[in-house]
Amino acid sequence: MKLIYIITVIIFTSQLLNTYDHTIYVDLKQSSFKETQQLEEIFYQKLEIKTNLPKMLNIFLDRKAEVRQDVPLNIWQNIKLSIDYDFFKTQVISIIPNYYTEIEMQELLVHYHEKPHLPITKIEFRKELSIIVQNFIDNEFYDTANSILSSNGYMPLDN
Amino acid sequence: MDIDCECRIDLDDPCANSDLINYEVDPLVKNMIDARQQPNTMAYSSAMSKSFKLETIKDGWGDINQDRYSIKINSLPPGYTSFQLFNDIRMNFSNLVVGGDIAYVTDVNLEPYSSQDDIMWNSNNPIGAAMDFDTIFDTSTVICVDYNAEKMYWIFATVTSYDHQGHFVAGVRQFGLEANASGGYSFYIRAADRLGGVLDYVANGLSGDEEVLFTQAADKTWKNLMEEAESFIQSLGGDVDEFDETKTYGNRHNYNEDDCLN
Repeated sequence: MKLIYIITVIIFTSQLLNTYDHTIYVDLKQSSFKETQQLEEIFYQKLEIKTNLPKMLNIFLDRKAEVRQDVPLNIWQNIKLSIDYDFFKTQVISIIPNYYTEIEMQELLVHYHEKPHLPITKIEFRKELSIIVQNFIDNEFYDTANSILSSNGYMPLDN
Repeated sequence: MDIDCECRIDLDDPCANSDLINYEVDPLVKNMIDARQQPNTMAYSSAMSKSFKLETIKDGWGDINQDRYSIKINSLPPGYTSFQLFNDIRMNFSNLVVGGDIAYVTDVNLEPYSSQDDIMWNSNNPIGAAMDFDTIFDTSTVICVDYNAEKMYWIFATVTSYDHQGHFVAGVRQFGLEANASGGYSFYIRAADRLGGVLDYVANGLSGDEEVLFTQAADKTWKNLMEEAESFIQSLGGDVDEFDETKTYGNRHNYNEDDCLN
């Protein structure tokens, strides 16, 4: 009887420990995943594409506004404010780990910590970014701009 | 002598742009560049940072790119001297630099690095003016390191700037106006540069991918600039031959390992 009790205690304790270990493991794994996500986000925030994409698209809209003077300036302003760059950010963040390891990201962030930006150091990353940019412009940018123009009774932009 | 541009072009000459390959920035200009500082915006203090670091062709890696593009100007715009046209091209330069052929992805916006550079660039002596080439990806800064009103040219050199880290080439590029063999003029661009700057050599190596940066971005930007310059001169009333990038004057020079570096 005593033996059966001991065995039961061992099995129960073992299961508890396993559960505890598993919980710790899952927590660690999730924590590590979150840290990696944060690292990729910090990495993205230092890339100049974050500021240059809106800057260049706003310049494009300013040039369109000069030609399309039938459209009031507040409509162009509304378009600029309505473009959801979070969609672009999410896409870029999702591909960063394909090109940079955690160590590489950390090294670059340390190296450029006193600079406003860190450079795109890999050609392959740049090439995939160009595909994401093109998709973003063809879809999110044009859809938003043309939806606002159309709903206000103006001709859409040519794509 | 190339019959299409009435200018000197030898695509097989590995030393065609040897003056640019071996170009050394004047020490006084280098001192001026080295002395430029700006607030370190990341330090939350009054600390100052160096604004620029020259990225010379020797800092780069891979094959040297040599190019020389020309447009043939048969007659100047009415009432213009050659210098006036040269000066007008420089003063309108930001309108002529539009970027490559892939819409948006290779678009370029040219603007001064700062208000101080704006004043310098638009003065009679633009040496030291820093200019930013913005693309959707990043911004590359160059500095006017040479200007010669008599010979009608200026030279941009690549730098890494405090504000921007974006250059993928290192070297120099010359823009100028010169008399051609048929009594007219040529507006030309010449360069000697190679990959370098921020690109990680170990990560990228020489896989062939690097050629994309020249063919789809840099090279097209300069060819499109020639087309914009052609339209600009025509808009002033000048007579210009159409820039045809398939002609000899629209080709990059062949590279040879014996590239005149030594």
